[in-house]
Amino acid sequence: MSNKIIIGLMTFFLIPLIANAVTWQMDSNPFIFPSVSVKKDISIKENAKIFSALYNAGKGIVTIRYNLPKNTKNAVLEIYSISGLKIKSFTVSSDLKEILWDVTSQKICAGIYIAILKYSSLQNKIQISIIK
Amino acid sequence: MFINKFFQILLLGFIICYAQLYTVSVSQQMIHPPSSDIGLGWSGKIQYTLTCGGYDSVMVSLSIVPAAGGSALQLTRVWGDIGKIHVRNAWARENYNVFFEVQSPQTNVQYIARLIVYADTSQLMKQVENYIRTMSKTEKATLCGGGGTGFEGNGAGPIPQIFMSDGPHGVRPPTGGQATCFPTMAGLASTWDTSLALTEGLTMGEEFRALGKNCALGPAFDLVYHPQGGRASEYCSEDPYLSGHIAASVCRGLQAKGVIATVKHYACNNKEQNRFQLSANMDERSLREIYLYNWKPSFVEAKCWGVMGAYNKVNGSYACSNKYIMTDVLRNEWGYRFLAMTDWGANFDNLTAGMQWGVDIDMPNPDVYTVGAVAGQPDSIVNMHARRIIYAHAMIGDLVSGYNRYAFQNTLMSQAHRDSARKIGNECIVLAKNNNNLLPIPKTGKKIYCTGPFYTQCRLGPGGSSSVNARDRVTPQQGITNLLSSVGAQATTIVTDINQADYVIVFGGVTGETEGSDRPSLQVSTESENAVTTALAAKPQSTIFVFTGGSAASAGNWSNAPAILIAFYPGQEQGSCIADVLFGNVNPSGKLPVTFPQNASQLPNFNLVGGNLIYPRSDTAHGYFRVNKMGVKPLFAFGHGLSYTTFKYSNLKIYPDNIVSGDRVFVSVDVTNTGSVAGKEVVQLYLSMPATNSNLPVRVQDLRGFKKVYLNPGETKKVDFILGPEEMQVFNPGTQQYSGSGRWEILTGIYKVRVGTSSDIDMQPTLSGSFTIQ
Repeated sequence: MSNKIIIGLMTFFLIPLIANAVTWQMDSNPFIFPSVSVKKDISIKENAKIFSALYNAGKGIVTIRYNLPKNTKNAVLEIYSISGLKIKSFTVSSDLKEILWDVTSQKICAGIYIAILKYSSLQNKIQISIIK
Repeated sequence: MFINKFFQILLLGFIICYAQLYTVSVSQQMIHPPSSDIGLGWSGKIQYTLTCGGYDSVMVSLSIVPAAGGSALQLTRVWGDIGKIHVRNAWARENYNVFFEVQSPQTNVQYIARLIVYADTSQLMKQVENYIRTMSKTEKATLCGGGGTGFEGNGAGPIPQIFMSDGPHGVRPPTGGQATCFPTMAGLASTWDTSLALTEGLTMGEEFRALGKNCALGPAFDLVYHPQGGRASEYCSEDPYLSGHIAASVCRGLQAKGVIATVKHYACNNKEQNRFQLSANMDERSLREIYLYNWKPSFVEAKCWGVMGAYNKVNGSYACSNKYIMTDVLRNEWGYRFLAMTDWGANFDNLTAGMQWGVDIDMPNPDVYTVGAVAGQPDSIVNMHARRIIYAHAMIGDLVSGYNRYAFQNTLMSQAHRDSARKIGNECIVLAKNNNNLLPIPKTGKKIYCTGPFYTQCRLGPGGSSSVNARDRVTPQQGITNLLSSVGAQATTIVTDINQADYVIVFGGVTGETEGSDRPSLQVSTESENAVTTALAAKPQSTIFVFTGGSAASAGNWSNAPAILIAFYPGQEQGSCIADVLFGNVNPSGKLPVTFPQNASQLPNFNLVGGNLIYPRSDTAHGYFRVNKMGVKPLFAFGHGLSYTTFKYSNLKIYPDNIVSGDRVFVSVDVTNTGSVAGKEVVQLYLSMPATNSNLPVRVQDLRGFKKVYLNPGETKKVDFILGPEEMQVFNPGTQQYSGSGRWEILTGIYKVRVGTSSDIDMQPTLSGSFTIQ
């Protein structure tokens, strides 16, 4: 079908649409504003930050990735239970960007833990979920 | 696909209007709780899909209501594709995004987002369609050419001529005459201030209208690919984000005064040698992410009414008749619906190809050729081109009886315009180096010696079409003399013996910048080097080099001077502007819009290969993209610029720091003036994309935000940015380059955000953080 025939047919049928204003209204799917009990710590204190803490159930290892200001040697990364008990402490530096926490060696129970990166007077924390 | 093509065919001949809203959805993952730290309430994103062809007035409104019924929530902020929206690919089903912020919704209660789309044809469009119906084909074809003095778009029947004039940084009347000369686009970009760019656009717009011109052949903002490019000095910056936003503000200003902003030279006009034959050849990703990225804000956000096709080819096809850039991207993806013209004589292929694929006006051909050639086209083609031209007429208002194109007549070269030129010029100037706080020079009790080839010259800009004949010109010599003469009896004096001087100021820079040929040397002029060499021999600790010109130079003796000011053609008031900064009346706040390389090895290829300019891959490109990837330090980094005060950044916040693809992130940082004088800081946000797809190597960092803030001593201000999907996406060309399979996509992984004072990651102050896209 040539373009001219198409144009002719469409012109015949659709010309009434020319210049007519149209209004559409549509509703979205339902959504909620979920209640939040704990506000996430979003501060990034002078480059000291934990990016992620991921638990690999197959290996029993938590990989914690972090960033520190250049040439930092004696920062501390501590892991606490939800009740505030210190479980583990690592000395970390800016040379490495991640540490591995072997939870099988300490017979860690399933649950929520908090990792806190401490550098100078600065802190940054992240939640770790261990599911067995 | 078929329907899309079907409607495009229809659009050639008739304006048929069709709209349909297909979906409205809210992703629960993109609903975020409030953050008092960043000053944000509950926020979220709504996505809708819409086809909206033919209509030029499309309004979208949003309300968020409880699903069970009740009052709508109060929206504290809403942005994105909301209100009067710019319809992009009109005949395709397109995704649009709206972001919202609300205060105090009920938690755990179901809400729905209710979207209302109202589409109509504006009165202007109806008027245009009326002309299309009633004008003869010959009349409509006549509009597609130029004539008169060579700077008029033809009029025909009821449609008047378009009165054009060169002038990316001031009016250059075709028949001669004077006007106010503003900073070039490179100078303007050095301000990193879109409000000043708007001011330059508004002020130039008044001068165009004062001279009876309603179409500006500018702004010009191809990317500065290489500093030796003959027109690099006319263009903004090496960075597409900065270029795009500065140019869009100039467009807004011009058009607010009823002047068509004809953005040029679309696209990839980066080398002047062999410019009528050379082809700018690059992969599709480079073209989309870098060399076309700078154009989009002017078309989509500023909605400019004119574009000029470049002389060169892009990937083997002349820009003016290049289907990919002119039709596929400009018209079909960005939804540009106004006029496109050739550069003067740039319709090289033939009229048919140029007309069909892109340009509407073939400049500056005489009527007979144009009418004959265009009138031989099908009605649908002639109507399409005429419609775009008449639509631009409708926007400037010259179809209305009583239209006076000589508006603002009493403003030409007025004191107010001089003041604007000086204000912008002051903020153009970059303090690149200031060892031992050599600057500012005390206004009293000192002796200065001034030398160099440009001490007595007011350098307005490069040669060619961008040259402006300014009546009021202030040379550095005049500027310094005027400033010191106002100080009083104890004023610092200008001496004629270098050995007696406390300070030596050398005015040098680059030369040979003009359209039609490239700059012969990457270095500053021989006279400049000689002058600074002599000065450094006499006063090694107190020599100040003032660099003028339009683009960067490589290192030399000049860069050994302990203090350096860089002034990229800061306009007719440059002598006063430079003097203001030298003596501390103005605290410098300019930042470099280009990288100054150490030498040519830090630059991309600039030689023609078989008549073509072959561009590097997108991750190594040019400028700071290139030196970052090479891991080398340039002479002066993109974004670099010092101040007479100091600033501290603190409290960087990124929220949320874990999002899904398509969501947005808020970034805020506190900036404090820690010095003893007031000053302005340009806060720059750089984003590093994740290198998670080996087929899509990423650049080390991309500028994705900038803001200029004024701070009194001790004052702190919060500066915030929003990074949306547009800022995060990369172009995936798909399995085959330029096959139509390319798509914008967002990579998953960790995005590094750096807020700093320069593109140099080691330059303090700077803070960095990250967010993750899952």
